[in-house]
Amino acid sequence: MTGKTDVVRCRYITGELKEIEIEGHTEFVTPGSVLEQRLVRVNGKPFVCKYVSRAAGARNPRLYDLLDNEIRAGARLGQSYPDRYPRELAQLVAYNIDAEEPFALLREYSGVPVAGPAARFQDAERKQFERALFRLLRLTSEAGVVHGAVTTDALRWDNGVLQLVDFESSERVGELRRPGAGAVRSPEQAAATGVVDARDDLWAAALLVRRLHLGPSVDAQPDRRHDPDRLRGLLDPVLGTTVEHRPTAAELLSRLHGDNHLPSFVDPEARFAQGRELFENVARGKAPARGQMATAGRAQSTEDSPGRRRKRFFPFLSAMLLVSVMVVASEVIA
Amino acid sequence: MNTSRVVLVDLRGGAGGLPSGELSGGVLVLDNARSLVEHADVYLSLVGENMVTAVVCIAIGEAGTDNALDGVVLTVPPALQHAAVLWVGDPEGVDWAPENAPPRPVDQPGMGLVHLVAALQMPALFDRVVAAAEDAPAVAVNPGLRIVSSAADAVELAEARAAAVRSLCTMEHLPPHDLGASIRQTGPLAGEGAVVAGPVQAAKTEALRRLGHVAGLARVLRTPKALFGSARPTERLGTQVTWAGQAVENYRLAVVELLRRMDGHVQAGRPAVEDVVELGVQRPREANRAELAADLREAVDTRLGEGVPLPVLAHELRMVAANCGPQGCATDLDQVTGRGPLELAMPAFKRWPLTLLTLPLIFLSCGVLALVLGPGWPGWASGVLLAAAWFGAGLLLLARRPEKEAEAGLAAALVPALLAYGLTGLAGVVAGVVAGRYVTGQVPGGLFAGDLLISELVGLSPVTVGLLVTLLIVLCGTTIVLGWRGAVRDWRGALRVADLENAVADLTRIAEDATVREWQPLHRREAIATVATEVAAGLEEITGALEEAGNRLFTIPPGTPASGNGLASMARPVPQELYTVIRGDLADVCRGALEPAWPAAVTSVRTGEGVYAQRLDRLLGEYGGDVRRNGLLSANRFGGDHAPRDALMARVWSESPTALAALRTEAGGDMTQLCRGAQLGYLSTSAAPGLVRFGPQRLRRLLEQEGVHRGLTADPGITWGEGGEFVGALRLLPLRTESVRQFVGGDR
Repeated sequence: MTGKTDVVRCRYITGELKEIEIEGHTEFVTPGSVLEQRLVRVNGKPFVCKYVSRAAGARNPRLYDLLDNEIRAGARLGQSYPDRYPRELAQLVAYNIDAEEPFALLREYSGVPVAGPAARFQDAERKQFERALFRLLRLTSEAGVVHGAVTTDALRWDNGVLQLVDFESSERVGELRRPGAGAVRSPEQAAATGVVDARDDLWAAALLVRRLHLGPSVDAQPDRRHDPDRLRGLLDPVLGTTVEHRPTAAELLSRLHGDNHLPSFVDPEARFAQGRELFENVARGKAPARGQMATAGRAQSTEDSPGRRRKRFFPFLSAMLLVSVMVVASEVIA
Repeated sequence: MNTSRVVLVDLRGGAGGLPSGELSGGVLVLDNARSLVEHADVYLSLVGENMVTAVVCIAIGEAGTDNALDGVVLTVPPALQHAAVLWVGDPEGVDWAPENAPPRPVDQPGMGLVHLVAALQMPALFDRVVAAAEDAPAVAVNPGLRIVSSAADAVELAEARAAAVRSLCTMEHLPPHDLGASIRQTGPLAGEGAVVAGPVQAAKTEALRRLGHVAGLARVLRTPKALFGSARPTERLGTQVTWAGQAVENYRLAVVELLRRMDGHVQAGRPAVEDVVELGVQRPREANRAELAADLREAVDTRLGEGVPLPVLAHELRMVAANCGPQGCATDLDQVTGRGPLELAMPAFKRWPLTLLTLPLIFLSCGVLALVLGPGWPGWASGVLLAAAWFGAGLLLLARRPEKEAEAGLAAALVPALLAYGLTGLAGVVAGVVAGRYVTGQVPGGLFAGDLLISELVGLSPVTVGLLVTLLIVLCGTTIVLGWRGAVRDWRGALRVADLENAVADLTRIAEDATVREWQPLHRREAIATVATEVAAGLEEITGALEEAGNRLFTIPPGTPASGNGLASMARPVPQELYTVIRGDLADVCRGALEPAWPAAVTSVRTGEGVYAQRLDRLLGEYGGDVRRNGLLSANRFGGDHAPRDALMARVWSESPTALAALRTEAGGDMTQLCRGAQLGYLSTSAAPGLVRFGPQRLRRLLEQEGVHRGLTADPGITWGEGGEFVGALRLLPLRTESVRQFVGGDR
């Protein structure tokens, strides 16, 4: 990843392995990214390249994990929305984690970091932002991805379209929660207990919405009793409950009259469903026999032990008798 | 002459030219004495300038002739005959009291000329000096001065500025303040007048009509009309009850739809206003943005005046935007949705309107009648008739029972009525006949009594028998009527028409509340949110800019000692008052920087990013320039409130006895005469010196308010000028006539 033009091997999220030519290396910074980034061109089209340089990786090996998270989330999202990928989410195109400087290639982000324009949002734009935020969380949760750091740093605004980028802290639904030091983490995420829930991101999103409406100074005021009724009605079910009782992003989106439909969604697990079901059937079919065998085995073992003890005891008794007879006989003879 | 402003022109640098641009007002020229003749054309143009009211020339140094013995110390060109010439032989001067003390070195070297120039920039003093110079019997005068400055110490000024910036930019946790309460309320309140019409109102009317109809039918149910005639309410009561429930549910659904559309439009802009209006609400009222902005501006100004930090005010405005902005009616929608589905349950009518507890009465009544009127055919015939009557009544009541859809009907009631009431009556008749025969057998001669009734056999008179039979029939009739009415009462008690009427009232209240609260003032709410957001964003931008740019204001000049500016005569300001003045000024600067927010809020045209910061930067520069030129105590365009400056002035001058002493200085008193001791000989001792005493107008007001030093405030010899930080006296000693040479041209 040095020089003006590089030819690199990478794997598309479809699994295809290809060699591509990367041109241009303009440094690129987003507030939500820890990884090094560049703006590059591939076939004349702009892309964001996230990578871990040798030096940075040596200084901070955790960067490899962050890149891995980005790739896993991007691949999952790409597989979930293969036909019409939602532009609200950063789109991973290709990656290479086996290279000396592993990288991920994403389509160029849209808009600008939302922190700037958000300060001057009018009421209609704030509501538009709310709907867009919960919609993209609906998209990620449907794909089983939790972003893990939903803040203004990871959001970009492009004339009413919100985009979520920088999945470096992402997790997959159902996995064990990782400890982390993100700025805005739900109590469950902060405690790093249990498994990742699709509603984990809603906590940070709710705080973000509250901050958007009440200004940056509200971060220091966790007491929501003086919040406007509308915000309390919307956010209390999220911030005032545990993750199990939290509404889903889809429910919140409905409440806000947002666009709740999904683009054509493919469950990546579905392709393995037939094989998994076959395996389960086979496993179930074998289960009784294996159980009987196990029971028999256990019975055998319980019977074997005294038997083996008897078998060991008999030669011992015979030897003792023989010795006794020999002693008595020697005495008699003597 | 009333000069409004004084322009300083310094010709000492060698350029020898006037500043670019048109000069106006009073012009104070600093020049070397030797250059006066050289700059003759400049002076000529100055005094000839129409907009220049007067020229004061401070000539520094000596400009004599080649002959050192001729006593000439100053040569003036003819143009300066129309100007006031102040000759400064030495910028440091000597302390001298012509009548009391010989000349001696000054206490504060280097400040005499500086103070003179600064003081002469006060327009009132400038005019007074011009007048005094004109009155002097000489072309030029030599100034002596005794001045006390109230200028703030640079270090303290910087510290006060830093504290003021911190105070303005700190997010303090103050008690919650509802800024929105200061916005005038307009428009009707909930419950005032009908707010919902159209389909929703029609659905409500229909629901109430149907509920009323059911209530009417229920009332009729206890009258004979329910049992007889062709228009019996029992025929369609069940259907009407169902329809009434459905009508109420339809009304609820209409309210749900109304709320959903309103909420959708408020939250997401969908559906369109027309789609909401078609359900029966009026269009949202137009809002007077200018009035709202004016109200909010007044509230913001008040809060700034109360000393609220900018981030706190921004937060309060955000709260206004969030609280007073469009809220939607999701809660109302949840409430109405949670109440459904509504229905009017059809209570089960009593299975036996003529309760089975009457069966003994039926049995006994039929039996007694057959017995009393027996033993012949009148007995059993009347008994059978009574049994038939019981059967008929039971059949009728059973048949008129209202059920889910219609009344039960005769066919369905026939068998139960026959089995229950008919057979019981017949059994009673049989029992009465048998009992009659038994009684007849028991009575002596009864078997042979012929046509005598049993009642007669036992000694009852016909009247008694008639009365007994009548009572019996009345009892039976009363039992039947009470049985039906009791069943109707129970049924009506179980019919929840009132509950549904209350539900309709609740739905109406919710719909009207939401309409009045959210829909009708939608534009007003949007306008308030827009105004408050714009101002809050402006304040947040200003806060950030002030934290950064504020530190460039009143910076300490390099090499300045930690405290004091080396002026023994400077009255040291009290930091608290100084802080209050600067904080108030900075708050006004911020108020000025926020100015573009108000027109932007009214027109909904958002100001560009950085506009407030740039404006603040510019205003801070202007403020700093004003303070540098005129001093902090001078009124400037940012110090709207005079009280802090008055307080600062009071503290400064009350703690500075030298200031009042300077104001009382006489012409022969001790002053710093701006010449060397050796040059005092050039000054005329025969002519009376001119004396100009001066002070800021603010000090005079303060003294008048406090009622002290009345002699000073009433002294016409003191010139009170607006602005300035100097108090003191100027002594203008004319130069001897022979010490000034008039230059007529050609011979320099």
